[in-house]
Parts: sequence; structure tokens; C-alpha cells
Amino acid sequence: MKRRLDLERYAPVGYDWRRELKFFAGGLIGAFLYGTLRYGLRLRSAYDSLYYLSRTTGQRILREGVVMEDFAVLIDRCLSAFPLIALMMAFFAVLHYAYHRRGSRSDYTMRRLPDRWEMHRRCLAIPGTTALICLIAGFAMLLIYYGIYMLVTPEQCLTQGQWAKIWTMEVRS
Amino acid sequence: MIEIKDVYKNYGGKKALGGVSLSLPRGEIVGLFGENGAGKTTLMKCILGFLPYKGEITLDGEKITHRNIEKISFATAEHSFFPELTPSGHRDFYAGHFPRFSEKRFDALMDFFELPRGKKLRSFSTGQKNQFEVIMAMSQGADYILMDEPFAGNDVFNREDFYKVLLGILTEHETVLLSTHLIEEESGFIGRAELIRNGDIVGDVSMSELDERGESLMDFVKEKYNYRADRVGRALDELIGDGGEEEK
Repeated sequence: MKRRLDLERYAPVGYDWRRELKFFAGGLIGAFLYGTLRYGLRLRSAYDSLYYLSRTTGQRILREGVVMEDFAVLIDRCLSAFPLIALMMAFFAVLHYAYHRRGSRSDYTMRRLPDRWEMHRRCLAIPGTTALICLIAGFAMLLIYYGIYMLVTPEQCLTQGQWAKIWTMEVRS
Repeated sequence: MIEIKDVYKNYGGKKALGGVSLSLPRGEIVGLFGENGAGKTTLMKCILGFLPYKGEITLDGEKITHRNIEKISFATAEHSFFPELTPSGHRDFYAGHFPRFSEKRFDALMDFFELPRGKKLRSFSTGQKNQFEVIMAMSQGADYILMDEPFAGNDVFNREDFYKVLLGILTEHETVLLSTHLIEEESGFIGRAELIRNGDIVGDVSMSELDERGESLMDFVKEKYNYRADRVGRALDELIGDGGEEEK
């Protein structure tokens, strides 16, 4: 039998979690579009600079000894929206706790429940999960962008240690 | 039994409770009387564990934790329901979290107070909100029902109805601690009165004891509060006297 996840159990009681989820979904889509568009344009420009146009044949010819811009440089800030949304989730967690003091002190009821984690689960589950999803999505996008980079870059233009450079650049920045 | 031993509570440097000791045996309706700021709400919040305190509070011999907290319910003038939820939503939530929640009592009280079940609590009037707050506290299935000024803002008929219902539906195992200013109104149905003043219990008397002494609860309160009956007369004399002089 197929079991449906009852998200209501993971949100503050009576809270409009559907609206919040729509906001998160919008944020994720926005982060994806921003990252993809920015990375796409930067990759395209870097790729184009590897070639020159032959005046005689009109064909694109690979420049001699040219190297592709490092992946770490191209990816710069393309994925920044993902950790930003993840960070924003801390604000939503605070909002969930504050909800229990809006119009009443429903936190009194929550604190009297036999399950002492109930209130924390309801306040932290959605922001925590969303933050995790954002980080995973950001990492997945990084892998995909890296795959595309390796796929489109001519082998002779690739320099060594592209993957490692991402992290050393991150550390330096 | 809820036992409170030498409970001290300070807010900053200000004393809120100064070594309160009292016990609430099962099956009693206890009135907790005191003026604003006397410590009634603080005492209840200490019992529920909402506030840190010095001293000891036990419930049937054990410390009050999440393991036994469901034995205590709480109705407060601040309200503790979920404003965005309907009464039916509250019933489902309570039924899912409090194993002894009484749907029968909930339904009976909802019918008695004629409250709508499908409207969100935020759209209720203050009187209806108070009634609902009490309904949830009464239906939770708790052995000890703490009520902190539950009817602040309700009219006298409403309160009278509530007292009657309370007396009618309480079982012999249920204890009610009811904090209020309405001393005379409650004297007819409480079994015991606790007087609190400046964070200290200044009076503890059973109603039968007062009956034997031929004393009213109000007299007892006045005595414990050192109420000076001539205070108003003297103040008026002074005011009128001053006014007279000014006129001259």
C-alpha cells in the first residue's frame, strides 16, 4: 500500500505550510535558473574564446596552445543562491517558533505535550529539510556543470586538477 | 497530589515567589486568590515547568517532566489554543497527542457553549475564546486542571454557567486550581482557598472550616490582607475636606 507523507505533522499546527513550500520551490527554481543561465553564458564565452574564425574558409579553428578558463573561475557565484536559500531557512525556523506566540500562547500547549520534541520537529523539519535539499541540489548542479565543462572542453585545452581547484579557490575566497 | 515545597522565583532581582509551599490533593477545587502581580500566574507556570525556579514541585511523588505532564492541563487568559485552527482541528490534535482526551466531554461542552466547530479560533469573540480555552483544558483528560483567570472578559451569566458545568462534570479524581479575582463568585463552589500576596501564601483555608467558624471567604480574605474598612471613608473625608477648604 502506498503511504502518503503527511506534511501537516511536520509544520506548526494550523500553519499555512503549503504557501511556504511554494515559496521554497520558487526559490529553488530561481536558484537553478540563475545558476544555469550565468554558468551557460560564462561557459559559452570561455568556449568561444578558444577558437578564431578563419577568414578564408569561414570555419572556427582552435587556437594553438590555448587553454580553457578554469572550471572554478567559470562557476564563480553561479551556485551562490543555493547556500543563500539554505541560510534563509534559519529565519523561517525562527518564524515558526514565533508563530506560537502570535494571537495566543500556543507554545504553552506544545510544551505540555507528552512528546517533548513535537514543537521542535514542527518548527525545524521543513526549514531543515529545505536547507538540506538546497545544499544537495547545489552540489548536484555543481556535478552537472562540471560534467558539461569536461564534455564540451577540447581535451588539449584542459588543464590538470580542475576539480581540486574548486575547493582551493573556495578556501582562498 | 501536586506538592509544592519552598518554591522561589525571582524576575531579575524582584521577588515573584518567596518560598511557596502548598499541596493540591486529588478531587479538590482550589481557588487561588490574590491581587495583580501577587504571583498566581508565576506559580502556575512554575508548576507546568514553563519557568525555572528554586525549590521542588512534584506530581504524585515524581518530578514534572514530559513523562507525566499530560496529567496537567492549563487554561489561561493569554490563551493557549492555535488561532489558525478550528475547534474540530483542535479535537483531532488533542486526540492524537493526549491519550486520555475525552471527545465525549469535548462534544458536550462545545454543544453547551454553542461554539461553532468549523470556524478558525481567531475569528471567535473574546468570550468564546475563553470558553474554548476552558473546554480544551477540561477535555484533555488531565487529573489536575490549572486555570489562570480563564474568564477575564466574560459576563457574569457566562461565568455562572461555567461554574455549574464544572461542578456537574468533574469526577472525584480531578483537581482544579483556579486563579481569579472573583472571590465572592467562586466561594460557593470551591473546596479550599489559597491566598497569595507578594509571592507568599498568606492564607490556606477549607470552605468547611470557614463555615464552622461562621466566616465568609471575603471576611477571611480581608483579614489576611489586613484590609482597612475605614480607608475609603478617611480618603473621602480628606478629599471632601480639602475641597471644602479650597472653596473657602
